[in-house]
Amino acid sequence: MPTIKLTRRQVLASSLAAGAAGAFGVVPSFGKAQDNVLYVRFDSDLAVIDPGYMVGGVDIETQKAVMPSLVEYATLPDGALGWQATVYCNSVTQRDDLHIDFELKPGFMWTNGYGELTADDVKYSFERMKTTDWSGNFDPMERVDVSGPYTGTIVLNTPFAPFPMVTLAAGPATVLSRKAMDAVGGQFTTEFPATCGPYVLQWAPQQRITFLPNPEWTGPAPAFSEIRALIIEEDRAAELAFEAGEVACTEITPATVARYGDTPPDGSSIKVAGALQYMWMGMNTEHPKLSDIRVRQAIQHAVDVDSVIQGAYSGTTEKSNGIVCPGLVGHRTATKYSYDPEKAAALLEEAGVSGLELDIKTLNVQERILAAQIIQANLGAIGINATVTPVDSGPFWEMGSEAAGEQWKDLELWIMRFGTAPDPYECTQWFRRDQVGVWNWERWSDDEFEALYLEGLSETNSDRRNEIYLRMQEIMEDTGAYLWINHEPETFIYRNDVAIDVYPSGEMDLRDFRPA
Amino acid sequence: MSANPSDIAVAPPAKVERRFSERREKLLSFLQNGPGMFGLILVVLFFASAIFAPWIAPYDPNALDIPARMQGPSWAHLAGTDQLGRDTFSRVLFGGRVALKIAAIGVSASLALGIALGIIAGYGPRWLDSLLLLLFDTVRAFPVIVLALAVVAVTGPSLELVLIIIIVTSVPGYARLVRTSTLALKNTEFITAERSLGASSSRIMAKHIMPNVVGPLLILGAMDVPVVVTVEAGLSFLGLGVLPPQASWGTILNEGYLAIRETPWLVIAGGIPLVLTTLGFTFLGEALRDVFDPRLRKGR
Amino acid sequence: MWIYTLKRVGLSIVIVFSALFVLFALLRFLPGDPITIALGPRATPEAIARYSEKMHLDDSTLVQFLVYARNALTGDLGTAVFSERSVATMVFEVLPFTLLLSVAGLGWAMLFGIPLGCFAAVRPNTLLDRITGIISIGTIAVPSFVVSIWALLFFSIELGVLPAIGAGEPGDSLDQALHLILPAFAVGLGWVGYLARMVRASMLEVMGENYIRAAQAFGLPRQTIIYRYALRVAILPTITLIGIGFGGLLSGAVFAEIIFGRPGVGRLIFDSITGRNFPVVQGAVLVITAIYIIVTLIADLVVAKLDPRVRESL
Repeated sequence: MPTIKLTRRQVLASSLAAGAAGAFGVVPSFGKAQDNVLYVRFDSDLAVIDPGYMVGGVDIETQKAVMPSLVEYATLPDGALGWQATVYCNSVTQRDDLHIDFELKPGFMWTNGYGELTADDVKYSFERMKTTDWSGNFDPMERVDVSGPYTGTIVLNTPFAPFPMVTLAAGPATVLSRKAMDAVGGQFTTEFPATCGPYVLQWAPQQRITFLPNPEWTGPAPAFSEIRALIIEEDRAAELAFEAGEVACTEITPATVARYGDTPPDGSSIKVAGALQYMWMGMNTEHPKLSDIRVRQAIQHAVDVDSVIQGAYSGTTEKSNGIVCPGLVGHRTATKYSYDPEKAAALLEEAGVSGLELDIKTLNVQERILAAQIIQANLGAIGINATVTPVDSGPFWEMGSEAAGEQWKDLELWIMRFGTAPDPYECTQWFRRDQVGVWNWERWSDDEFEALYLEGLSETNSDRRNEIYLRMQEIMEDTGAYLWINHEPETFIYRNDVAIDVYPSGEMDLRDFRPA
Repeated sequence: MSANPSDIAVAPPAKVERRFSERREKLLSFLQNGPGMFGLILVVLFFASAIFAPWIAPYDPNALDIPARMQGPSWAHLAGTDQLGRDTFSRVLFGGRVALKIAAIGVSASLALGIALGIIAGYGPRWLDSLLLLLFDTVRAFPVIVLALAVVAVTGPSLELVLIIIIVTSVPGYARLVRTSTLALKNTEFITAERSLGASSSRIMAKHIMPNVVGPLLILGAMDVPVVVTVEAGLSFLGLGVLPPQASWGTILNEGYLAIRETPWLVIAGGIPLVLTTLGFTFLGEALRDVFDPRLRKGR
Repeated sequence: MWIYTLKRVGLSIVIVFSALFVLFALLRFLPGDPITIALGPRATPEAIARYSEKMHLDDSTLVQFLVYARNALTGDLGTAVFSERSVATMVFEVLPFTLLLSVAGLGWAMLFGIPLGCFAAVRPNTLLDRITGIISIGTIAVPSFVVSIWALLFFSIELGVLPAIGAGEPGDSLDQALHLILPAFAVGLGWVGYLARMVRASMLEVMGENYIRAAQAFGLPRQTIIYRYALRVAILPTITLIGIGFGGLLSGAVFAEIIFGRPGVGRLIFDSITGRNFPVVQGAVLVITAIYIIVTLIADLVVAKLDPRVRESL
């Protein structure tokens, strides 16, 4: 499953309930100071915190703060994004293409009396993942061999260089306690059977998530006496909370990014975590109205993407030309099509199509609805009568899925955004032949694409990889089924008295937050 | 049943004949009612702006103009523009058409159904009456928005649905009024005499009961219009009624709320027509009531 | 009185059942398989079998309804889709916030509206009366969710004097009170006008009654007449109105919760709709409706106690 961020719904669903006290150190606007308590914002309530069945987003942020993991993202000396072992490990080494050795530090204890963190827990956790909803991330892994109480080796079944970056450092590689999991039947939803981290979790549903220092923790001491995560679903409401001094750190909307420009409010700074997302409008190639490639190409030429970015994103996001995000190997800098309404009209005429009516579906998020409306206007200018249908997240993510019923047959146009990991292979996996009716809603396939995918997985030469991924995106564009829109970044604003750490995919790593 | 203002309000049948000068007197008194006239003007404004919107509106309400987005009021755009550069004033005018449609269909359908059910309840057998009353009370037991939310959860947002919900929740109010009046009339000597002369039930209903309830009903209808329009706006605001890009006062408020930190003008422009419409119909309704049906007054 | 009470309570129970039936029927109209709707797409076969058995899905619709009704009345409102938390727990967790908001809104409206109506009634057609009239109409004319939005705009964003979002820090009453000001203001504003007008109209009617004039003729002090006699009678239609209008208050609270980001049943319903968490929607709507029914029941009983004429109408 792609790293789907939990969707930000309209501001109407905002749900903060607490927190007038200012963030650490700053006297807030309502005069109430607290010592050493950090207030952050979570963009939704916890759904399922079992890593095998989690939804994402805040589930991951919570796991990172209270559960062990082997590897985390790090900025390398040359500024690029890489990975390093966490405090739980003495070392993690990629011995070769198929083996990753790890050695845990002794002495880390699980809560609730479940004993010590051992290599066997790692074996249990990772092998378990292969039968869960997030198994895709562990497909390249064959098994975990345990060689001692604290040592082991992750064995891959195919050479897969990105494994540490894409799987181990990201959300799904949380380590669970085998004993504790056995005690609860192998699966849980909203309560960890046992945790082992600098903080422990306390949860008041729909209101706040609190992290308190873990008394049994033997690692580096947590920086705060308490972290309170206030649940504010909508970015705009969160911005208000930030300005009121109620949270020390929050994500902000493109409109706000535009409004602040280069001068954020006094005492705060802006950090762009990364643009590891890619958005496009997809077209169902098997739908009778769209099966003629000229119609699809006409649509590609009809939309003024710059005005979409200007109108819906206040001009603050980078236009995309494919699916591979900026900063990664294989990032595409130009498209073969361009905004050319005359050409679009000509293509339509050539296809013998007139008076076409199409429906654009989009998630019920303000920016995307605005984008859809701009596209609608653009299509109207070439004679296509389009309607915009906002869809809530439940039905949205099932729209193209064959497993969910027959509705995929009616899918015409839709705006889609996936998040990804810092490696180009990750985004291409969703457009393969075996993903048709799963996540390849455009319903196409190509032999060359398949071959290139496999080659890219094991290729280590980055120039060659660059060529591979550029060609794959060209193939995608040539199907006519893709209108590239943008790479939306995760932008955070935070108080200057806090140092924050956010992943390129937009999750906060609370373990690393500390006073500045 | 629970004490219901409409139960107490409607009095015994009016005289069948009215003198011409009595009518003239009432009309004059209506015209002299200050708030009533003000209300009438607002109501006329509402109808006129909605009906003539395509001619009055300076721009196409859905025409995008991205470079001109998020502007405040100016001579080019009387109420400013929204995130996509659409002219807010034009959108407000076209939003009025949605309001008008909902109000017209909603109130008239509710009236028709309410009258029918009320007469049936009042005039029909006891068990039917009790059943209908139970139905009314059940519908009234749900706060309107909450019921709308429950239904939309099932079916998804749509304007038609909003209409149906509004009609269903308005009918009991009218029906009870008519029922009370029907009950009161049912056993008067006049009706008994007609029945003994062989008049059929439906004839009695149509010729005698109806004219006596129509007055209060129309007044209630006028007072109901703002409620109906507000419910539609509220549901559209929540994203459960009219969907983008169609303009409705509710969706303008929604978009304005989402952009509230960028510009205040959208929420102001979206809210004012609601206020004016409510004011207009309320004043008008009260003036009508004061003049034409003093029995409904609670003393002045 | 007792007979009336019994009848009235009986009626309420019947209405509760009808409401239950409406909600039950609503779920049946959902497109899709009722089990997936109730349990979500991740349900294991064991969970499906258990649920099917518990809800008697193989039996007739009537039996299913009775099971549903029995469960609801004993406090089992089902479980939420993703998290499998008890719906009843989720609803009752946030219910106090909604009730607090409704009561606060109504409370301040009564505090201002009733005296305002009184004053206007005893000084009819004076400047005070006219001003009161304008204020009343003005406040009624603005829909409560528009008041919420404008209040948010003006007091929080433009002026920055009141907090915008949330219910305040749990355990800190002052902070919670601060967060309550704007929402309660918005919810109650329309009621100020409404109550003022209602009280004024009732009072005028009562003041015109013979027994009041007789009391005046007997030389009773004006204050006594107004507050001990006239108001007591005039307040009755107001109580009924409050009872019936509580539903509107709850609706206003729903909007206020959503606009101000407060926890509450209204927001819970709205979030659950977008999250496709139907069991929660059903349960929360049921609870709100039940409360509304209870409030109207109490209002009716109070009025019946004070005004014997009403008891005949049942």
